[in-house]
Amino acid sequence: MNKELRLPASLTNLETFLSFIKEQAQKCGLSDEKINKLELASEEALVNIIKHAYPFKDGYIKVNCIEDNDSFIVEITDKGIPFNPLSAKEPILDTDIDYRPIGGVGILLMKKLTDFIEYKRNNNSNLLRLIMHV
Amino acid sequence: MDISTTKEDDKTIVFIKNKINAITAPELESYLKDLLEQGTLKLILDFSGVEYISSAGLRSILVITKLLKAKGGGIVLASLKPEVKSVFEISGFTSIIPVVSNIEEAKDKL
Repeated sequence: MNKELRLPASLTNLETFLSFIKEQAQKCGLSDEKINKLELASEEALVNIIKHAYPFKDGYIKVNCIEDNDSFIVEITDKGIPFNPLSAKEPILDTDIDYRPIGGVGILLMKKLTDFIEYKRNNNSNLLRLIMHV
Repeated sequence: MDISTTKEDDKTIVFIKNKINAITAPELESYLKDLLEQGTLKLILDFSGVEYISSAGLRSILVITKLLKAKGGGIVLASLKPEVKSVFEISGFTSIIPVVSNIEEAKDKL
């Protein structure tokens, strides 16, 4: 299975992307708990791209849902600014509320909620793969 | 997003029923900011109707918590579903925002 959805990188398309991912994950037999985690990780990845990848807000996001042996893979591709979320600095979590920065936990959630995650830069594209074991 | 408010003595209890994601979080944040502007200092968020929160939602909760703290007020989150509580835990938010299991405990805490 390899299903694809390509839409403009806009918040108005976020729900469409997430519904698509959930539907494909369900067909693949992923548990409700894993689907919930995958939805959250996917939202974090997509919102990052929507907010930061295209300075002129004119780009697209391509999402592929792939069933591969015992894994369900969400592959997210954009042609925006090169950005590897896996090399981003992790937020400091044990600070007092006054020093706790607002935001910065999206990438952390993405990493903790998926079984495996990988990033590649090729053909002028960012390619992020969120992988869940079925 | 369904949000409703009840007042008990000096405590404001806000019941939220929906996902809190990048689309709904701004609506929740402005609703809560309005309450703060109207003088709310002791805020209880009833999370029993929330099955999903993303970092956009956490960000809004943190903004409100900081605003309340600056005014000398306080916030308590009550009745979190396990999947939502785990998002708060992973993000380290449970160490900076009080989380309790039900509304009665929340009232005692404030």
